[in-house]
Amino acid sequence: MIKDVRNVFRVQSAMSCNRFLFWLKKIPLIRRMFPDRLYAASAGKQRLMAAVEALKILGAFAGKFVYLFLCCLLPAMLIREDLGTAGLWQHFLTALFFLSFFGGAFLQSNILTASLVKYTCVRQMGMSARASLAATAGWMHLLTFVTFTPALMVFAALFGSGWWAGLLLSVQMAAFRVLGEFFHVWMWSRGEKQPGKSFWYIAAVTVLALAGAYVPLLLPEALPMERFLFNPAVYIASVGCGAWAGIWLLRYPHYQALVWKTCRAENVSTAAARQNAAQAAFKDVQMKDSDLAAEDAGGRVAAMKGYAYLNGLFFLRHRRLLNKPVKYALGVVAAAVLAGLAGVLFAREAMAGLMAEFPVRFLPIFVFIMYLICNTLGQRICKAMFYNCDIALLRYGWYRERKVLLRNFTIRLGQVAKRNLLVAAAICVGTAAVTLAAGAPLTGALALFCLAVLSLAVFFSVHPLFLYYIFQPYTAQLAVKNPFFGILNWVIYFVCWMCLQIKQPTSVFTLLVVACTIAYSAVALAVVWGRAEKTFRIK
Amino acid sequence: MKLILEEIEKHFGEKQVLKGASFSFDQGRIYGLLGRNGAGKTTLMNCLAGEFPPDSGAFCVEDGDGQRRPLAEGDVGYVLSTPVVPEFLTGWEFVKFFQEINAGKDPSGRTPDDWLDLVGIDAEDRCRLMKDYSHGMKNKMQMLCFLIARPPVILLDEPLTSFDVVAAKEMKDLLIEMKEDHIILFSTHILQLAADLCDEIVLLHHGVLEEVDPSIIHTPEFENRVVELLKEEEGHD
Repeated sequence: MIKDVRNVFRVQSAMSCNRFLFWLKKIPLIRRMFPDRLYAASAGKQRLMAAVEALKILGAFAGKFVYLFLCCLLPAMLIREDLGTAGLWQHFLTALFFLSFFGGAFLQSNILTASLVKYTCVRQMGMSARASLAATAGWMHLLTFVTFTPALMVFAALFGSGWWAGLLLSVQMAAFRVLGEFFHVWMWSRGEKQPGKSFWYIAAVTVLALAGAYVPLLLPEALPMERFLFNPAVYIASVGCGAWAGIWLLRYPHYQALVWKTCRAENVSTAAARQNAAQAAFKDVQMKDSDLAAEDAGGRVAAMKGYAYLNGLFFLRHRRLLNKPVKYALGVVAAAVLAGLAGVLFAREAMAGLMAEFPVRFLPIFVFIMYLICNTLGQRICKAMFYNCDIALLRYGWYRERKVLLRNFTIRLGQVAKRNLLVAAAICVGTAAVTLAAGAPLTGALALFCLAVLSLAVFFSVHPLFLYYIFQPYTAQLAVKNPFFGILNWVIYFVCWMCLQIKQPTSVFTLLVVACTIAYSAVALAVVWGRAEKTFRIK
Repeated sequence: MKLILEEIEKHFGEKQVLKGASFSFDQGRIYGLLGRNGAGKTTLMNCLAGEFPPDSGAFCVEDGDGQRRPLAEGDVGYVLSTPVVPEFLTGWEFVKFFQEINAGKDPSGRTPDDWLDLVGIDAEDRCRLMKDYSHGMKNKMQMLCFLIARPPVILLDEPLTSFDVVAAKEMKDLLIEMKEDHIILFSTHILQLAADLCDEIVLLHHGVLEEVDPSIIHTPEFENRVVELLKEEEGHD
């Protein structure tokens, strides 16, 4: 048993050390100091493992001071400035009891939580589950007790209750933690129930813990928590129950089965977790079987050839996914137009005045609105294209050839622009309809407004597609790897936001928008032709 | 025509996978690429297919007149060990599309149905989306790509392992039939398959390529000799 526990510690320590090394190697300036050979079991690694463990323990000691100050003391100091030392001490104990005695103990179980160490040691290396749990859950509880003790002693001494009160609290907290473990393992033994996996259980414990900790701050009088916790009967009962629960846990005979059932590969594998997270990120562009039955009306797609045929089928079979945001946008435009028409019904005069100056006053805002509508749609289309098409075809050399990339880019640009222009056209028609209904004149400024909005639809069709081809951000494992993709998107977002501040005549503004659109489109086509061959690849 | 590899090097972090691999592959021959797990076979194929560039060295194609030019991505047909196909298309649609973008390269005059018949994708399956295809069926679809486009260099990364015996036999016959016009390089761990199909065996060992004496390929000592060579430590003569 002792040998097994020592081995589990070694595995655990090596894992922590490998993780630490992995992250050190990601830091640009210092990565060279940590060569791959350090992963091998060597004297260097032994030293690093010792350093990592020492750091973890030091961090745990320091963390308890920080935790007690931030979570148990600071809220009371901030909310109740009227409290003296005694009142603060009562609130400190209240928060401590609900957060750490109750919440910390009952929210989750260390024994039932799946971990890579338990999985590796018990399921893969065949070690004893009891030894593994002693080295993981047991060690965690011991560490919690040891690291909480000095912090509680210092806080108790500072509040004038004496260091020994802190020690008593630490022992009592450990008893509650053991009771919490007992509750979870006992539930498991009664039909393999895991409350820690139930959303409602977690929500209930969390809400109760937070409410218990902080709602008393709103009461005129603090709860007499010191009297309660240090009441000899309560103290002896809680520590006694903790000791009994500890003995029950030590004698529990089915840990092997428990670890086998709770630690499964899919629960502990970081690769599987990453893959699941990545899959979830693409969930909004996953096809349904019903999408595949989309009808090719009039055989239009069937009559296409080559890349037009490929893209035709793509957009046909992703119609539901890609048209959904368009429908939402059209719905919002329709609602705005209806609101405008309702405004005309109730306040025609005011609406006439508003609509007369609408193009001049609101055009800068439409840069931002069109960004939100069109860029969102464009990004969704790019994501769908990657997930359902390009991730496979980019593995073929012919698909990465320059002329093929430009051909696909232009076909796709047409498809994205078509959808964005539909929304832009609806905005133009809606604005004209409300203007007419309000009795305001259809001026040249309105025509310029419409031209600018249509132009923006094209601009924001080019933008996401251009970014996708030049900064293709996704890996074969569906992770996002290129930070420039996000940064450039933020830059454009910021520029659009800045447009809200522009005060220029509509003609100048429209001219600027049209010129930017033409220039951006030309640059995008040239750069895709020149660079995409190198950049549009699976990372 | 020859495919020439000159001093190809590739590192991943501190690990040097290819350490100046050089070789000359001739048209009309099937080469079996053998190596231990992690030897760099897939890395070499990925470099050849343009998936990622080597750190140094060059891939060239030399025509019958001795004229050399760099290997282009369009020169290579690559069948991946884990086949990837656009899953939103049916098998028939993929073949139709692929034939259209390669119009003029395929003199056979076959229709998509003819091609699908050739690799044994039956009538019912060819109208199903490829997302529902098995590993072997997806592999066949990838193979159809090079059968149609006829690139000069064909790379197959453990291609026949997912086929049933009938399909594997058909694909072997097909490769033998078409080898005259191509340079075919395929990696495998199955020595029997390598011996059956290949004209030459090339070992990738310790990051370099070395040829196995062709005269022993069909002899009883072939297997032992290959294993012996692959077990040799680096720097051993």
